Amino acid sequence: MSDDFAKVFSNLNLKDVRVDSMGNIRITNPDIAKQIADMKGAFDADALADSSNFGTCNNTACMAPAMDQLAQRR
Amino acid sequence: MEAGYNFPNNGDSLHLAENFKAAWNQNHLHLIIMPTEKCNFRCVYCYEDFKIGKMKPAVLAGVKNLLRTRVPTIKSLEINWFGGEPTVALDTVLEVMETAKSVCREHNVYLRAGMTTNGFLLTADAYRALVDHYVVDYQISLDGPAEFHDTTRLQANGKGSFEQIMANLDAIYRLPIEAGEILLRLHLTRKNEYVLNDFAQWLEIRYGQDKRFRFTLQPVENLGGDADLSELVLENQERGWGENSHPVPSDEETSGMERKHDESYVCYAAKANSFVLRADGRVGKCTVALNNDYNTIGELKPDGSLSLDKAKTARWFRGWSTQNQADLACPAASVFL
Repeated sequence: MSDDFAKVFSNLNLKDVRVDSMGNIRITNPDIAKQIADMKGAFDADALADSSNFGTCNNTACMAPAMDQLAQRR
Repeated sequence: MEAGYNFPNNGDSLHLAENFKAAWNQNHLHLIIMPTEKCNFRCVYCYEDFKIGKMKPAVLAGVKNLLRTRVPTIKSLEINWFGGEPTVALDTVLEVMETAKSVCREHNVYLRAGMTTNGFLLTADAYRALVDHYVVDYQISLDGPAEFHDTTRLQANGKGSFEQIMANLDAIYRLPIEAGEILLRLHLTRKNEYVLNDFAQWLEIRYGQDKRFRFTLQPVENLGGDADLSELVLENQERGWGENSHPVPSDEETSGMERKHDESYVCYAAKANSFVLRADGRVGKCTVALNNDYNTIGELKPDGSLSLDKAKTARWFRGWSTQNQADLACPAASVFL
């Protein structure tokens, strides 16, 4: 699925993202949506709990503070 | 399917494609809720400004109404309590969780919740009440033994906090509860790097028999506060259980209690089903860059509807199209630049 994934999402345009008042965020481009639906296993599993999702970055890749400071200086 | 603790679990590592499924699955909703942005601590490295107080009734109503309208459309709900210090607003946490519990039970939706807390007010009674409301996962930071911790993780009155936190953890350890996880986030600094391994071993002797307890090593970062942290923040090459850790743990000594960092980590902010609900009703994506306009993607209305700015929201998903792991691990760079 990884190769399929890379191919499909390299075509993803953020203009194709739709949001609604219930917080649903979906990809509306019909071609991409179909390709995603056709990918084996896509969207058929229950959502996965990610216990890293504490709201505290548990990775060392967090760039937010530096980006925040940079944006404020400009 | 009943609401409960048996939430489908991902294990420690997800591949990108599976991360994608988790991130865009609209059958799942992940909310990071800040019931107050005030805190009873003044950690020397904290980046928050504590300007926004406890959640007002209209925002609280909005959170509960969002749950009532959205839960019937999903299969799983994950709530993480953040702040400020969420235990300072424990009544708000329990009130929201009561609604979450009720509506999830009614619609057969999995519910699991966690909390990032300094642990000072997390008494056995508070923990038991929270677990009864499905708040089973905790992240609590420790900056090493008391002589180190009490110089950096200070109460608002300037006093240390180690003794009370350990008393609470000891009391929680004694409770006959097996659900969830208590993740001790061990902060590595220039000052404590020589003792942190011994401290981790001390914690393992103390809590290692209890499967709820785990720890993770995290270097202290400069996350944008005003303080000069040059005496605390380590250079990149000095981080981890490396040569500066004394004694250096051998492979055989690697603790089963330690949770290692996930190389394919995707930040919650890059996930399409994850939102930060702030105490004043603003909706965000990231819990660090709280004062950046790009991070305010909308507003929660009292009726529970979300007024989201499509363009600002979509910026957080750029990593999925670039497939750059760095953009997914921290989307801030691609959002703010």
